[in-house]
Amino acid sequence: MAERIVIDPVTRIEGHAKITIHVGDDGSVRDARFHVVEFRGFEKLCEGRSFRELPAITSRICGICPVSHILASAKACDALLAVDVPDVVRDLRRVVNLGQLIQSHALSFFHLSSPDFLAGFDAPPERRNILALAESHADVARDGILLRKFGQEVIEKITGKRIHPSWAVPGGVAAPLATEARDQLLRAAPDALDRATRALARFKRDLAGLEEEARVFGNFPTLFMGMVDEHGTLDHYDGKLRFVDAAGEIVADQVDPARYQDYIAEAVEPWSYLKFPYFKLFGYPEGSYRVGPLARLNVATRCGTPLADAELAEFRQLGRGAVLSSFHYHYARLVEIVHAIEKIEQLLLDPAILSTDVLAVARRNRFEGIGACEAPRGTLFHHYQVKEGGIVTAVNLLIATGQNNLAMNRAVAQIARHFVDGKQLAEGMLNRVEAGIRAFDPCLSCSTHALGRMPLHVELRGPAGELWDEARR
Amino acid sequence: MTVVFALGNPARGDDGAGPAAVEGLDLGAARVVVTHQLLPEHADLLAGAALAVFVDAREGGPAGSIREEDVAPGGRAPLSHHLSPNHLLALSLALHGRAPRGVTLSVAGADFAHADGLSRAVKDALPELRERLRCLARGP
Repeated sequence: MAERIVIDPVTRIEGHAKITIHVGDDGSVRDARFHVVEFRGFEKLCEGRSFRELPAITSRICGICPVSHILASAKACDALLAVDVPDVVRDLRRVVNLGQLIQSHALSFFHLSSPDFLAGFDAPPERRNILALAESHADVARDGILLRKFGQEVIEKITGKRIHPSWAVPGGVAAPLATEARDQLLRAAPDALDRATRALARFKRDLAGLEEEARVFGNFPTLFMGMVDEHGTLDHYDGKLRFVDAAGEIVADQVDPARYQDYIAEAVEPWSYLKFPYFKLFGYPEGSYRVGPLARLNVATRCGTPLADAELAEFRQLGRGAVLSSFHYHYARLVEIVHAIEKIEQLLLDPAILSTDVLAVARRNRFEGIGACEAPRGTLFHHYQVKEGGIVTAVNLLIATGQNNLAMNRAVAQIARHFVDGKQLAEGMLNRVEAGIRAFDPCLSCSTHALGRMPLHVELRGPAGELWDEARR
Repeated sequence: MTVVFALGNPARGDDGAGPAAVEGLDLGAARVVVTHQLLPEHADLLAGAALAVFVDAREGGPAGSIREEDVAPGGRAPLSHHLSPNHLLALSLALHGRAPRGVTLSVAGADFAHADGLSRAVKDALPELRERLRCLARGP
């Protein structure tokens, strides 16, 4: 008899989701789906507000990558103002974006995923978490914790807050960088770089024991998209879009992010709140593309910093053309951490970073603005339309996790077909299906905290707002 | 050294009791960390600490009732990156070879919905909560 296997919730990801695996009469896996069952509604609740509020509002979308949202939002607002922000603003925003990339990648690699690599995918769950990792590999856990701390300090020293800084504003940033903060970060950077290169060297050694996972964790041809500068160098803050195919050939290049809708369309499916973006020219679902660290290393000609460029050359040996296995998101994350630390050092060593000319003041000069940057998980777009008075009439947010949605679903199905026997379920099989999703590091939401259970209150209201039913737990 | 973690989200009603308890409070030499949730990097702060106090809102019990409990390193494995006090102490033990004495000081909340400000019951309990926190932080 056909069966349905449900993994709910998927653990060690940012947010709540479930996976269903559909098993046929013969016990083989027919299909698998990754369901995102949360609904946030930010696009709707921004309508009717002043566009100047949007950086602060939209940064609340996420507690892990608020910096990406505030930067994409500030850039969309810069476009509404029609201003060219000062060079130092671009560089400061770039440094903060890289700081966030470090802390987010360190969290994903060390805290959430490395227990699988070091304890083994078949190890019992109590051995696959950050506590067990600290007991068995204290040096690895310490490197992860201190790398994440470095990334957070970059954000805090420059913006004044680790989470949800209200620092990037339309036309610039709220405050320049203080000399003392710059010096503190420069003193901390070499230690962070040592830890990052050590982690990367170790992971490359460990890869030999992870060949099966690398072969079947979302290993298939798709397009890849990321931002590069005019020379093809990785640019996390201000690049143009480049698409490459599975052979590594450029399909589209130097696309202004403001023209994203000429290249990307969005589909929806009834079983998930996450949208399914695709490359328009190839149609749905053939136009599946991946974003994030793996995609960025696949699209970039170079990283632009010495250690990361050497690592990129070695990384490229994993594929003929593009590196196709989603398992190598992990590897790419570590290369990007190395690059981010090097790049932060480069930018902070330039005396111009201390300039106090950090704001271009203007009124609204356009009715439409689009901002984009590379968030840790991939390219992030904020698209706003406003009317007279700067009141927002429409918002479209194209988020990295959504752009990986088609690939994540395909990865789940591929892993399930390889590891799951419908007649016999083992913990290691289910963990590998989850780990396939974890490789993409999807970010679905953040929530509150109290001792004990998380409070939940659901109300069911009728058309006139009357309360029909409610539930608490 | 004493480290006080004031936990909670002030935008979720009584969940903000922890941050409210330490606001403007003189805790002598204690280090005070206000945060929505405990994270692995907080273990770094416990390297040389003798006492860790976790002040937080809790579900269960009459609203406004205060509970003080010792907490030991250990507990069920966390599913994500945020930790409970016992997890944080266990992480400190694994990383530093020692964990400070841990105490949770919690007040039962009445309402955790999206709202600024505390319920009347929790507001009324704040002076006692602050006094007990002051006694703990300053030591016997």
